Amino acid sequence: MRRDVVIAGAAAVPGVRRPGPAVSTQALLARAFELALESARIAPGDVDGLGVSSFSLRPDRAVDLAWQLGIRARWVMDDVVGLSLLAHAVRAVQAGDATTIVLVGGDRLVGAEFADLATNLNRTARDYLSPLPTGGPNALFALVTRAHMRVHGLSREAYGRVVLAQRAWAARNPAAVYRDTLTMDEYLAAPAVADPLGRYDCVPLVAGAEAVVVAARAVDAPVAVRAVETIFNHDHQEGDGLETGLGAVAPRLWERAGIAPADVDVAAVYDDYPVTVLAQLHELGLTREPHAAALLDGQQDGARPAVNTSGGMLNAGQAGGAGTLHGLVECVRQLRGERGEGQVPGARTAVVSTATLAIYRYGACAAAAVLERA
Amino acid sequence: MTAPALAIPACEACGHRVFPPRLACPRCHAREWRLEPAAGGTVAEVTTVRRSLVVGPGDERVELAIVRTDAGPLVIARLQDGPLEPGARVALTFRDGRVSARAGD
Repeated sequence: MRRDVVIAGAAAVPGVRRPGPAVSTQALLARAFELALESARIAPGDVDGLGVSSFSLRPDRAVDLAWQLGIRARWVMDDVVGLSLLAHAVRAVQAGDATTIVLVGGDRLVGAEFADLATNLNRTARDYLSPLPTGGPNALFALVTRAHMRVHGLSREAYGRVVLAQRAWAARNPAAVYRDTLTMDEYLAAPAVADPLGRYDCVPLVAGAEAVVVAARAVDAPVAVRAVETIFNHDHQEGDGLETGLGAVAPRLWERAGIAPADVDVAAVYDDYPVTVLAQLHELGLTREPHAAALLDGQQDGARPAVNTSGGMLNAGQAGGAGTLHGLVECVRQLRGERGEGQVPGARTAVVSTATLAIYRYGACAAAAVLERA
Repeated sequence: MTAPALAIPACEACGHRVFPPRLACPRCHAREWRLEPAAGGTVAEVTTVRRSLVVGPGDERVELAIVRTDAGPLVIARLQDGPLEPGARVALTFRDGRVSARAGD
């Protein structure tokens, strides 16, 4: 008999765009760890597992951070795909290998630190992209967006709709870095970055951290993990980049979760670029139309699921490896009824997904989880 | 100092072509490769990079394209002679990690 696994707490250290010299990756991760445990009302001494998603913690790894935090762990793991950490943590708790696992992600990656990461993200980027030079991921997703526009007959407004819908949610999130109302004209007129992408299509980089607590124990306001699926290298980078891989795992995700896409109250889909949002919504079965217009335009009028209710990374910022935990933290907080002004009334079910980590032309890692208020 | 024409790995066992190189063939998992010419292709998508980690305001823009090689694989190429439209035929060369494309066959 498998144990029920819950997410017992979640917390974020809000992202800041220009961190002072005293803000370190290690300190950000330590703060998120502390806040998530407070949220779960669990003492550090009860933690026996630590998973870390960070690019700039190096040369340290999860075991080093565990040592720094005074955690004697039965389970440690490093992975920059937060939902992959979740998948393994859930299995570990189900199997009894650990009882209380904190998953924490975060980075201070600004300026030259980010440039170094992007240039040397992996061997392929270092050896085949940086010599072009692509100058970071924006150019890759500009090309993917072009393909998406061509295949589906969309104009830039289709991607602006994603940004505007998320901006309206960001207005209700005090932790977002972009909160002012944005009009379609302003979106279209923003400085071009890599055609067709403009400034608001590209995530602002921030320093911050996010964390969740995965546990077997009964806790206040727990959130059950109904299913987690991951897929890597789904098409070996041989396609046009419009399929994230989620479509291949979605049927099993919903079957294992025991709910249907139509039952979902809140969705948090990875939003490094608007095109990725549209692809995930479609592949998860949350919208039938590739532009998701009805769902996105109806967000503030109660259309469900509510999508990227934090404002997403496009408005809240991406703190490196925290990005793949951002949607998970937001959904847990929604299901616990902790989102204040941005709360989706009566939220009981949520889906979180990630499509990320480009190898050569587009993302190679996809993952999704279904959560339910227990 | 003309860069050599692009050549890409083809699997010795099944003929499957890839770019960039892989340790093993994603189709049959064989690990022996031969190089085959892939100097011709057609532009599939284009972008002009106006701001990036290496392109600042006032710097020369970087024109990039996804090119469908006649050999099969899609590659990312620098358009060396300025913007081209999707559908344009290009000749591909390769040096020091950079695939370069110029209009023509």
